[in-house]
Amino acid sequence: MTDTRLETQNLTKRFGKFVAVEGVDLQIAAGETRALIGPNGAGKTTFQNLISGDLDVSDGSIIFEGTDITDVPPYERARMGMIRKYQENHVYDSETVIENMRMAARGDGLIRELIFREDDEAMESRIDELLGIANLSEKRETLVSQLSHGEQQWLEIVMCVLADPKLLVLDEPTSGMSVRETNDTVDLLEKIKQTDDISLLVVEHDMEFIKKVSNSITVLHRGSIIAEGSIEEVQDDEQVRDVYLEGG
Amino acid sequence: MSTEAVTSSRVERILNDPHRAIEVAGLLILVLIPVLYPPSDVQTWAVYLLFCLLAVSVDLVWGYTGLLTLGHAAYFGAGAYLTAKVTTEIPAIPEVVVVFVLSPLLGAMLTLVVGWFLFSADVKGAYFAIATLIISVIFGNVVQQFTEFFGGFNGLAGIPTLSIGSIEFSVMMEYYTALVMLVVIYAGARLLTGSAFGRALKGIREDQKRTEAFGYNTELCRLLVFTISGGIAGIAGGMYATIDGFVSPPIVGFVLATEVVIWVAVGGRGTLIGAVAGALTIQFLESELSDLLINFWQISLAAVFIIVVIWAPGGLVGVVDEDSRVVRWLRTKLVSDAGSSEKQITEMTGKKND
Repeated sequence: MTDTRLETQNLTKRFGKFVAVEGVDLQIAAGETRALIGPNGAGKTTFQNLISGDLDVSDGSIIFEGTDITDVPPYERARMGMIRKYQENHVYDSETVIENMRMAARGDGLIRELIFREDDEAMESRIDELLGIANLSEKRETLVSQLSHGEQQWLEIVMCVLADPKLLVLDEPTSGMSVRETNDTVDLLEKIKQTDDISLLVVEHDMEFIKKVSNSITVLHRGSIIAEGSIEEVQDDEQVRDVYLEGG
Repeated sequence: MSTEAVTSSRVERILNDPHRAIEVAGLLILVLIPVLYPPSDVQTWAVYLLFCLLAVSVDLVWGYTGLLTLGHAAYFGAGAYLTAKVTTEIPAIPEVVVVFVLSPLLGAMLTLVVGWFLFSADVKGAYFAIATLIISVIFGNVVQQFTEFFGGFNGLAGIPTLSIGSIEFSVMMEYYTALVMLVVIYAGARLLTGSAFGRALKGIREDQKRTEAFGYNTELCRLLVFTISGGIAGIAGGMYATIDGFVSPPIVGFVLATEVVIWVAVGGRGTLIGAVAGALTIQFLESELSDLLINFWQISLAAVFIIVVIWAPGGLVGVVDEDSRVVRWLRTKLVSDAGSSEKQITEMTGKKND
């Protein structure tokens, strides 16, 4: 076992002649919360797609918990503990909150277990616990399509936590949220971090939010890392200031 | 408890699970069909039951994973033609083995191969529908073109009735065999779709990317359910051949492939009971109305399909779903009325009626 959860080595993605991600070397430690920022078109989404397996890499490798997962399919990566929350809400709209949670809980099961093994009490009590953390206990039987945007975001976050991640990738978790909802999301992530040994990779634009959840930032620009360090270090970095003054 | 309250609780139980009520009522009617109809009609009803099985197989794929399959007539036809060829040309193999073992195996193998190609390339949406439609069209053309082997437009006749040893199945036995097959396979499909595996299938239908990102092997899930559905279509086709005694191109190609989709849509997809209800209703109406409407039956069927798509997207069983307008109205009327009667009695007598 290693203290490094995720390591990318010279990670590169080309679309024809266009290089979306170029030579990215990134390390995330166990239990760390890392923020990934960058202007539009910096390659943040492509980078996430590469580590989750939604895109094939052009060059380089991805090491997760000491294992090379570069050619491992997305569902296997999820089973190993890399769970991703997408930017747009990816919840099951026509199902209830509790059914959504149950859906997230059994993803690592073999087919025969899915068919023959019933949901157990431990799973149900874990669901109750996580719905409580997300303030969704009273909406267990509510159809997800009837939840607010923020509630859907929180539901998806706790669904991801239920899938037992070692690294949880959160793509703009406060997108479209009010200030109050954003603060509630900070609380939710703090509670998750208190109870579980999860590493977080948070991709965000909202610097106020990032300051509250992480003190370790990586800045991506035109597919490459241009700065890494604490918030203060990144804010003082001349190249970063130039990039943001450029307006991306 | 007062009589009204007892009635109220029974009505409420039915309204809480209307699909179960339809299943029980439907099964009772189907058990009584041989009593209600002459033997010639009972044979027709046996064929209806096999088409119900075909509809269930399509619903497993289309209703639960969202993949519109237009190829299941081919797997049904494969089971039927296999039974026709083997039972007439290799009498050493008992009919029951052909119908209950070889036909589902052939259907399952075909869907396994087709599914493996389509799912490993992640073909979905309209492309999946078109690819499966092409399979039906190819299979339909093959049985028409290879006249010597498949009998061409004239089909293959003289298929023996199902028999075990010296016992040859009567029409009644054929009917009840088809009914038992439908009940057993339907119950199996209910168990499958009610399990965590069924939940995974619905997850694939709703959001495949999300489902895969939770760790589900969506390719394997789709392949498994597609193969199971092929097996069901195959066994239905095999049984069809022995009951009808004749197979011909219409049971293989494009027309049946699209009709079965209409049955499922009209009944209510993703419910299983809707597939059975849709297949039975349309088959029954076709036999009753096609003489009256003569050349207009197909147009009428198309009109019914359009009406359902626009005004009742949940299909026939959707109209009586737990949350449907009809059931909500019935609940207000029947349950509340009975409840308020009991309340009045309680107020008058000053105690609860036990």
